[in-house]
Amino acid sequence: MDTVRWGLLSTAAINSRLITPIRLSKRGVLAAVASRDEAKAKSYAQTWEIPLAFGSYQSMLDSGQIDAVYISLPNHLHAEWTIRALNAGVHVLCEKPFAITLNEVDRMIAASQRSGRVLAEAFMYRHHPQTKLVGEWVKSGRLGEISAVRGVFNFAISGRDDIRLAPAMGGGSLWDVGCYPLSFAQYVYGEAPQDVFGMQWTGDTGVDETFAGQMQYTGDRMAQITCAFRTPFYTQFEIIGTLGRIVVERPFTNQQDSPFFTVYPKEGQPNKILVPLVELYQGEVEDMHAAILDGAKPYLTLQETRNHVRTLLALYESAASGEAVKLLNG
Amino acid sequence: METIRWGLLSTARINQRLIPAIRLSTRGVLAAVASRDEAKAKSYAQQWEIPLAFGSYQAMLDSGSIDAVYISLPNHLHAEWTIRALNAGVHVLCEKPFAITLDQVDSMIAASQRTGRFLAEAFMYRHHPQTRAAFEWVRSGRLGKISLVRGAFTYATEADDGIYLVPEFGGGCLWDVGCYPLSFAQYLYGEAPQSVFGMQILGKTGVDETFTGQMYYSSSRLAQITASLSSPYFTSLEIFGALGRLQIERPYVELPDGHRLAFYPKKGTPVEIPVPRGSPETDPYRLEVEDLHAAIQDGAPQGVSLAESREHIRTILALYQSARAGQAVKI
Repeated sequence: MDTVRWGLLSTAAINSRLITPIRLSKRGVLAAVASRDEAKAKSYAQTWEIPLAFGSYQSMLDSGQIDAVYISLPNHLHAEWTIRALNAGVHVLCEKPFAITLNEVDRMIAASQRSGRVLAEAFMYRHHPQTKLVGEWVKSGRLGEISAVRGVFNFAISGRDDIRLAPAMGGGSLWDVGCYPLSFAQYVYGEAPQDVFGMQWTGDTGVDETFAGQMQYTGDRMAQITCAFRTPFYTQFEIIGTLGRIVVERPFTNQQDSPFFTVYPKEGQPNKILVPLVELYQGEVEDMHAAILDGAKPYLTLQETRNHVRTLLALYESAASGEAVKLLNG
Repeated sequence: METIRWGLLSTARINQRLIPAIRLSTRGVLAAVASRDEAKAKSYAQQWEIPLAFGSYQAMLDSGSIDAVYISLPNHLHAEWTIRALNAGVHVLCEKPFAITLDQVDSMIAASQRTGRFLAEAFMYRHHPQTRAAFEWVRSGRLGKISLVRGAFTYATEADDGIYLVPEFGGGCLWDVGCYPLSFAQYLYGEAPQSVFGMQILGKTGVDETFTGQMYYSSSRLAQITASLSSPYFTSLEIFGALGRLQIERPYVELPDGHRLAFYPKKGTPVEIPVPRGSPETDPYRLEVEDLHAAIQDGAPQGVSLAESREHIRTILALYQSARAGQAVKI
């Protein structure tokens, strides 16, 4: 096999982001799309010039026409369809958050191991050169010891019938966008926290529309995250060390004309670090190709993914109980 | 109009901010300085051209030669000397944090009421035009409903024996600088939080060297603060509303550069909000001195009320309690 035939499982708006990178890649082709509504699948296939359209998710998975699937269903359906895909012998790139219970995550990972198929969480920004460069700055020691990171992902949700406002579907700002600064913090610290504390504003549909969370990691390292559905789009991530500070103005969706982040050393002038301009979703697609075709390890490990969900669940538990929650090892 | 004769109680470094401020003020004169060490008081008085030097704090308070005192002692001594000053009939401008227990704060406020002398917490930034402009911008409704405030104050201690590293002196970064973003959040929200949660990193001397806290206010409003005394100097505050965001760079100390107050509307380009700065008229220390003068002589309402000061301390204490207990603390 030298190309990966992709199928899109659902016709979610986010899909349009994956179509370009799959087509830009030398190692992937977009082969199929599935919707529970056959007419919708066909019209979507026509709009985006996708060869095959399926009127059911399962029939696409069983068709033998795809090698990998991109799952962009609502959060509460991630586990079911990831496991069905893996069982059908199809590799899976599943949107974040991976799942909404730890049991689901464990069953997804087990299904990947059992089937020998690749499984990865779609955190596109983790593959962006900016994120990797920030990671190298931290690792180089030029910031000294990192004692705190702070991150934000806010946006204004439009309409009250959005699935991200539905509690039963894994709705809520922390699940939807708080996972970004949280995962960045854990990328910087290389582990899950020991203790977490969360506070949330619950809106009229019963999900968190503003969330503030704090995490403590080993070696006296802290993280603070905030996210919201009720304020205009704003993202930022900041790493505070004994010798300097990094501020990333567009940590998750850096697609400006000349992307950069800024290093503020203890002494002297701020240093603007330019970052290559790349297709935001290209990295995660190529990473899947390397895993499937070359047997490379996925860059974002399932252990990291499991820790993301574990931490999100602990933050919600804390916000509900008003008490800090300790994360047990493993 | 009579002038207000000021005394400096201690020879702390921060005094250097107040000395020009008192001299710039229209109604104040710098009359005296006191130190427990008479030689030190005298040499300090000579260096700064202060008419009177006292070898004891109490002697200055009882001398009849000062009307107001600026207290810049270590935090654990604020209450004792504030109360002694008020009892001696002297008005008090006391450094933040006001005190380190709520009992102390209540005794200080009671002493002010009993003596009829004025008392104010020295949060200089609250008097600066930048702070006022940010507050007005929020009050005007241009941000819509605000639901989140995020602030940081970090700096790197230069000595490893500073008083802010001594637990018994009220040391720790939340007491020392975390009180800034905390007080700014409460200025904007106009109240104390309903519940708080704190996490701290204790240094080898036993004080918090990094503190992260979050607070929950009425009407589903949140605040998050970060403080550290082991990272390079950095201060910023962000106010998030339904219609936009207000970004303040360098919200506290007036510095030669790096200040910025900007509004990021939901749609459209950011708006730079002009703020007068860098002149004697905008010196926040002068403005806090003038604020006390206006209270003393004109009966004007104080820029930072004692109720607010009490809420600052209540909230800081709750944050520390939470950090120790590992659970949220209701106020």
